[in-house]
Amino acid sequence: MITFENVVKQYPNGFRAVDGLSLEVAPGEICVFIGPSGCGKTTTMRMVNRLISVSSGRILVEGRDNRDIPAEELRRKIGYAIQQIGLFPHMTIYENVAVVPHLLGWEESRIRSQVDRLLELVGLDPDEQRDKYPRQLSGGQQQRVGVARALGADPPIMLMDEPFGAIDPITREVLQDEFLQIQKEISKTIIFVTHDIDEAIKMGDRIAILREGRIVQFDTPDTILAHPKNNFVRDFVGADRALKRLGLVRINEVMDTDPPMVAYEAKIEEARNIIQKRKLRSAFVVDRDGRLRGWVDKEAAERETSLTEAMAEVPYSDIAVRQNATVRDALSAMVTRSFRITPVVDSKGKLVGSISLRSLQELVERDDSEASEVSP
Amino acid sequence: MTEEVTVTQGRRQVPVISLIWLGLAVLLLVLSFFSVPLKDARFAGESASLAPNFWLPTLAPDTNSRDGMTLISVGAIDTGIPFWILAFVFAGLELWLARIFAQRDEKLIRPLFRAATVFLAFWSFFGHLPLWDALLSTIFPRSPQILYPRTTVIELTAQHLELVIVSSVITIGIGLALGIMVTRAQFREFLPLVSDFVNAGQTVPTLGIVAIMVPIIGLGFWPAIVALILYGMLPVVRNAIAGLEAVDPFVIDSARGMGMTPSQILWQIELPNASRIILAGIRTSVVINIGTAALGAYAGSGGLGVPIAGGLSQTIFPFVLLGALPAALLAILIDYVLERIEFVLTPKGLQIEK
Ligand SMILES: Nc1ncnc2c1ncn2[C@@H]1O[C@H](COP(=O)(O)OP(=O)(O)O)[C@@H](O)[C@H]1O
Ligand SMILES: [Mg+2]
Repeated sequence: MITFENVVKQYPNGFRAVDGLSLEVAPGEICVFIGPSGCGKTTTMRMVNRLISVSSGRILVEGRDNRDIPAEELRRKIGYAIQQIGLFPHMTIYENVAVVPHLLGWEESRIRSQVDRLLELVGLDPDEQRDKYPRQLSGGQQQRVGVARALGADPPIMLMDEPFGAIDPITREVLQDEFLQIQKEISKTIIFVTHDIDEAIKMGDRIAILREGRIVQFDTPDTILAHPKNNFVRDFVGADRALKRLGLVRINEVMDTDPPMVAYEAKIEEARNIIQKRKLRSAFVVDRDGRLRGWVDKEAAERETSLTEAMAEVPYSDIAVRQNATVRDALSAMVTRSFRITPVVDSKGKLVGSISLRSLQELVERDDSEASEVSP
Repeated sequence: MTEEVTVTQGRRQVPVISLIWLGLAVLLLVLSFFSVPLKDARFAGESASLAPNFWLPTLAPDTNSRDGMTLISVGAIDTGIPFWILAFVFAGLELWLARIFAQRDEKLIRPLFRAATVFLAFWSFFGHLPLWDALLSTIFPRSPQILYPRTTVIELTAQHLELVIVSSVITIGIGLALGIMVTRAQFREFLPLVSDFVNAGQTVPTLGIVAIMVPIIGLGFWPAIVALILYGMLPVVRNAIAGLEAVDPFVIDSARGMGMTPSQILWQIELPNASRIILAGIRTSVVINIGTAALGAYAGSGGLGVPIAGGLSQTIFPFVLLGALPAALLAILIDYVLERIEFVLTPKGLQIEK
C-alpha cells in the first residue's frame, strides 16, 4: 500500500510540480497516473522511492514514512521500470535481472532459479537469452528484461514510468496483455504512469487524472468514462468515451446465453422452426460437441431440403468472437462482417452465446444517458 | 667471462649471418600475424608456431665470438652458452607460457607475445654493437663517431621506461581521481577549473615546464617526472570526464532506482561503461609520455633523450638515431600493447554495435 498525504514538490527553481496531492494506492492494484505532459506524473512516482525528495507532506510505503527507511533499502524493495529501459549494457541479461538479488546478498543458486523464473514469466527463454547482452535484443525483448529486472527480488511494490511508451503499437498491446496476465499471478501494488488514455483504461484498476500537480479525478476506468468529473476529464478521455467504455465490458457479461442453434445432424425443419419462432434471419449450426460449424440463413433454410445443403460451413474463428473479448471487439467484428448477430465461442470453439447489434445499441444508449447527467 | 664489446674494434663490414637471423625473425613475425588460429588451444601446434619468433631474434649471433654463435646479444652480454641450448630453453618456456595463456585469452596473449618478439628483435639489434656499427658507418661514412661511447641502448631504454612508467602511473592515478571527482554532483562546480588547468598543462611547452622545474626541484629524475605528469594529464582527465559524462543517464537512473549506492554505481556501472573512452585517454597519455620523456635529458634524468641531445649538440647523427629509433619503436610497441589491453578490458556487451 502506498499513501500520499498532501504531498508537495517544489523544485529548486521554485516550480511546484506536485501541489498538495493525496491519494491511496490499495494493495495489489494497478494505479495509473495519467495527464498531459508536464503535469507531474513522473515527479510524483519518483518521490515514492525517494529518487526525488518530498518538499512537504509525506508518503507512506506499507504504512511507514518512506523517509524513515534508508534510501537504498527502500529502493531494493520497490521495483522500478522506465520507458528508456536503462538496461546495463555491459552486463548480460542474467546479470541485469540479478542486480537487486545480488545487492540483497542472495545465494547464487537462489538467484539463478529466480532469474530463470522471471525470464520465463516475461516470455523469454532463459537458455536462449540469459547470456546475451542488451544490445543483442529487440526493443520489445529489452522492455521484457526491464520488467523482469524490476521484479528481480519480488518487491511488493512496482513503479513503472511509461514502460511500454517507446514500443511499437503491436508489441505494446502484446506486452500490455502479458503484463496483465503476470499481474494476475503476482498481484503487486503498482503505480503505472502513462499518457495514453487507452493504455490507462486497459491497465488501470483505478486511474488518477493529474493536472498541474493536482488530482482532478481518481476513479475506476468505468466511472471515469461514465462520469467524467468536468470538461477537462471529458476532453482528456475523448469524445468516443462511450465506445471506449464498451472496451471495458467483457462479452460474457452481456451476451445472450441461449443462442439460436441447431445440431449439424438435425433436419432442415428444425432450423426453420427456430428461425421462425425467434424471428431471426439465421441460426448457428453446431456439431455433437457443441462446436460451431457454420450458420444457416432464413432463405436457404426455406429453399433447401437438407441442413447440410442449406448451411454455410466456415471455421468458427471466421465468424465468432471469443467470450472473454470485449464488447468493443464484438461491435468491431459485426461492423466488419456486417452481421446483426454474432456467435460467441469459448477457447475450444464451443458455442456459448450470441450477441446482437441491438443489444449493443442498448448498452451505448444507457451509457449516453448516464453521461449526459454530468455537469458541464 | 664477459667480454666487453668495445667501440675501438670499429668493425666496418656488415655481418651477414646477423642480417640473416634478423630477417628470419622479422619474417616469422609477419607470418604470425597471418597464421590461422587453431580452435583447440590445447593443441601445442599453435604455441609451437609462436615459439621461434620468440627466441630467434634474441640469438642474433655475434661475429666476434669464437664459434660465432654463442652471444645472446640482449644487453650485449656474452653468456657463453651455446645458442641451441638457449633455443631449446626459450622454446620450452614459450610453449609452457603459451599453453597456460592460450586457453584463457588469445586476444591479449598473442599480441603480447608479438610485442615482446619485436622488442627483443630490435633491442638485440640495437644492443648488437657490431651490426649497428656496420650499418651506421655505411649510412654515415663521414661521421666522426658511430657508437655512443658512454652507455648502452639497453640501459638508456631501461631509464626511459622508468621515466615513462613512474610518470604514467602517477598521471593515471591523479587524472582518474580528478576526472571522477569533478563528475560527482557535489564537486561538479570544479569541472571548469580542472579542465582549464589540464588544458594549460598541455599548452605550456614541456621544455618550459622543465625549465621552471629545474630551479625549483633541481636536476635529475623528479623534475622530469613532474613535467611529464603535467604534460600527460590532459588526455587522462579529459577522457575520464568525457567517458563518465557519456554514460546514458537513464542507465544511472535505473541503477539508483534498483538501490545501488553511489560507490556501487561508480564502480559497477559508470566506470565499466566509460572504460573504453578512459582507456583510450590513458593510451594517448602514455604514448605522448614516451616521446616527451626524451626531453627529460635536459633535466638530467637520463633515458633515450640523452644520445639525442648529445648528438644534436655535437651534430653526430648516429647518436640521434640511437635515441630516436628505439624511442619511436617503443612508442609504437606500447601503443599496440595498450590497444590490445584496451580491447580486452572493454566489457563485451559494449563492443556490440547498436
Ligand atoms: N529538476 C527540475 N527542476 C525544475 N523543474 C522540473 C524539474 N524536473 C521536472 N520539472 C518540471 O516539473 C513538471 C513536471 O515534470 P514531470 O513530473 O516530469 O512531468 P510528467 O507528468 O510529464 O512526467 C514539468 O513542468 C517539468 O518541466
Ligand atoms: Mg514523465
